[in-house]
Amino acid sequence: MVTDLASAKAVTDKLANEVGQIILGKEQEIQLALACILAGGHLLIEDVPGVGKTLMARSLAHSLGLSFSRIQFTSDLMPADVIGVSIYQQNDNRFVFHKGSIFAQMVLADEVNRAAPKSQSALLEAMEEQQVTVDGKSWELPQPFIVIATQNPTHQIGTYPLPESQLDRFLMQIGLGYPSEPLERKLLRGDDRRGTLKSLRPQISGDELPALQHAIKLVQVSEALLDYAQALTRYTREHPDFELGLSPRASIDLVNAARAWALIQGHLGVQPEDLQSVFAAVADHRLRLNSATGAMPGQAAMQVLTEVAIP
Amino acid sequence: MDKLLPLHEPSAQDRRIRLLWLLIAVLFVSLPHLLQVNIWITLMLLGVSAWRYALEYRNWSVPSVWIKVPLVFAALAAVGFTYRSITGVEAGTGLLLVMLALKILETKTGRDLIVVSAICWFLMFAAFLREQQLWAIPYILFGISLSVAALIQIHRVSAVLPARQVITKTAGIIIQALPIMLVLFFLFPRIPAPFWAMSTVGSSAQTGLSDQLNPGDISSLSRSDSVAFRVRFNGAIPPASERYWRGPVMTYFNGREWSWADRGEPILSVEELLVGGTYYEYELMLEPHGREWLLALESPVQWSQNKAYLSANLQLISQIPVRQRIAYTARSYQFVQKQLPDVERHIQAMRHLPSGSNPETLAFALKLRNESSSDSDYLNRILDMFRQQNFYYTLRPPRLGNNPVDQFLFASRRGFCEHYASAFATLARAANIPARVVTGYLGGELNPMNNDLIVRQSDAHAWTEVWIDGNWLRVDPTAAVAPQRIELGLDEALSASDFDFRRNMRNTQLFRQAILSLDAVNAAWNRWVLAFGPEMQQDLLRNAGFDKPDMRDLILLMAISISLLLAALAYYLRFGIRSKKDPLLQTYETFCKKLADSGVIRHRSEGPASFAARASRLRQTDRSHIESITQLYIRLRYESIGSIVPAAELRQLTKLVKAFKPTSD
Repeated sequence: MVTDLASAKAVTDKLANEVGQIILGKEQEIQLALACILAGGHLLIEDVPGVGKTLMARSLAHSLGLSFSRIQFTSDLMPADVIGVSIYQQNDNRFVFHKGSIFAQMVLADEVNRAAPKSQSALLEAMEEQQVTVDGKSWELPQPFIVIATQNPTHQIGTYPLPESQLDRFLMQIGLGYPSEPLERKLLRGDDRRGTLKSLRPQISGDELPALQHAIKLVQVSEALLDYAQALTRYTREHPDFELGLSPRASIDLVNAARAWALIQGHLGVQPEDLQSVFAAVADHRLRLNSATGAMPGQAAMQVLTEVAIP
Repeated sequence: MDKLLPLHEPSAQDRRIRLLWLLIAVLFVSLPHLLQVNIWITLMLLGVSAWRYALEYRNWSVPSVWIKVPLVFAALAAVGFTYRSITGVEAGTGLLLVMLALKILETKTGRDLIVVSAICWFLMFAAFLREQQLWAIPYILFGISLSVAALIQIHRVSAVLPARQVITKTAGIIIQALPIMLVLFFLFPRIPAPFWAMSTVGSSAQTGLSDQLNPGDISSLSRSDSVAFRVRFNGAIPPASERYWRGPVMTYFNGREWSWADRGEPILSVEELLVGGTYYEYELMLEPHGREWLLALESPVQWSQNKAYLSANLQLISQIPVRQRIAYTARSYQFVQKQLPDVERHIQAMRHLPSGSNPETLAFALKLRNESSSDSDYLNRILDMFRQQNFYYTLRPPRLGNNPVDQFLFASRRGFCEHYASAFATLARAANIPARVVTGYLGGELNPMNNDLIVRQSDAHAWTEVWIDGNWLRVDPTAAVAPQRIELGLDEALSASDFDFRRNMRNTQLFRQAILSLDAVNAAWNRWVLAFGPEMQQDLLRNAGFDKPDMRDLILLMAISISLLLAALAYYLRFGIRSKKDPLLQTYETFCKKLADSGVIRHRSEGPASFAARASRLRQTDRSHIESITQLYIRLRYESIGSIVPAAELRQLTKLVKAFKPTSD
């Protein structure tokens, strides 16, 4: 059981290592994904097809010992496919609820932006409420409940981009990017990675994750750090480059993510660098740039970080 | 009322500390009063303070109403008995102090403490009734600080503050108040009359000229070093022998004392005066003496003081007694001739001698007049007598009996200026020559610091004026017996036996210098601060561009200024405090500054750890220093619990940073 920062750090090290064996050369992204999970948030991975988004989600679920379910979002996906459906039982003369794919500890919502908004919002509501309601009856989702959604870059044909209000519910959005040439060569030469996935061993059981998530509360957050966090959000709200600044939910998420990140780094208190490391992942997808004056998309977070002085 | 105060009960120790602060403030602010009032009041206040503190210390309850009520009446009676009154400044202060003592005795709740501290403010205010000199300012400031500190402690919701923090907080509050104080000083509508009619206490007891002249009056006055007035000449300064400052002119003689009876004198209109000779222009700042006369150089023709007139005796008289320091400009001519409407009646009174007194003098005068060819010759013979016979000029003349002029002229022959003036005037009148005694000051000390002429009580002098050939002529018989008095001043004129230690002290160069410097500062204080009255205020506003500033303008201007100040203060409190760096951050900034000086500059968005990593890369030799400082800093700033930085570790960091000397490129 995890009770102190040192043992929590040891566990996260093992987790990162394990996933790192499958996803090569993406230590930073793996740590961010772990931090997101430790902070109790949902993760959005946005990248072109084929860079290992699904693999990442699967290996995380596997090494965390969580029950896993995958929903492939398509344009004809119905909300009932996600949350489940009540079917009339002739023998008992009543409706029985058949749970949908969402009833798992870790749900991979693959290519979430290919589904119609109605289905998307079914998922997002479930993420927020941690429960689904069908025919007036609520069904608790298994705990811990983590959604990893992947999406293709929105400019591709046949996609329904998630609106800002929905994006705000994902604690982090990360990209994976192409592997470096030597690593790609290694991939080209190597075995089928899906085989290795089966060889992964759960490092903790799903029941232990809440304790790990709780451990991030042990990381000190000083007034000075909160000043910095507020200075960052204030900048996004006041600067004319931004049409939409960070919401209070975003700043709460930011501090929690930084705590988780600090835990993974083995820090006793959150340092400005911890905040900076998670800032792009937490903030980038929530900021809407002013198209007239704004910076390039994807550089917004960078601009904030360079402009705002550490108090 | 108690809602203002801490809702929970402060601890016994906090209550004790609170009370102690208040008692210290009370005793300090009542100090100037304690030295003045009757000794029993002083003892009572001290005793009651000690008593009250002892009660708090032992945790005993304060006396019951059965003790307090009789005490109040006893105290009231005692004050009334001591001062024969319970109003007026002296008795009023006494009563205030006594009631303060009783209030201290019954303080129980926080509200009582606030009442006592309010009395503190009033006592400080009352202190200005006694003393408005420069030195009172640091005293009052300190008193205010103590009272503010006591108020802070009384109002603490949680535990009382340690002394150091109280001092900082007090200083903060007082500094905030200073600009508002200045606005009030300059813009608060000034009224021409003194704010309270009594003005400075004890002006009646002040040394100075009197409306009567007895033998021995001026010689006793000459022992006082206190300043009578200061003069700043606009242009030439008259020579010492011409510095006759006219005060009360004594026309009535009863055989023993000369007295001023100017009240019935006709008022002289300046147009009727014929003036000639050189004139002097000056500004005179007169210390309050409580009487009507104003001092002026012989003989004043123009003056700026309102409500003042020139009497037929060429005496400048104010219609209201001088109870406050006043300043006026005047112009005096060397020669003044006047056309009196009723000359004969005017001079007739100046021939009067009481019958039966000083018979020897009368006989001598008649004999001498018969031997003389003219009035002038007669007067010259008298002066020759003073010069040639054994007359002495001394500060310690023997006491004279019922016929003082007789005794002085024919027996003792030792006297001060008033003896000579009185004798000369008597001799003149005895020969039917109109004569009068003029009292005032002669000379004055020029302060090289600010070119002020300081005229002290010790410069008091008396001389004579006689009516010769239809005009008044100044005759100073002292000049005959001790010419140095006129040329060089009193100190030079006195014989060696008259020197006492104080005069020796005064004459040492260093001491004199110090006295003069102090006087220059005091004069500036009087001139610019204490004299800031309605006229100066009007001038100030006129210079600021107000055409005809009236009361409404003043109040408006004051309200605007204070509102602006308060707005600025509010802005500062809201946004300015943030800029105040905490010591930890300052130490780290020193560290960054040192590295920046050596060529490694931290970007403002660079975290301490990243900066340390970069700096270590660039400054390999300083690596261990950079890392240990950064580690400690991160621990204190980002990893410590709560917002209070442990002092020991902060000191350690400061030490490390101080010792840190990065190598340069």
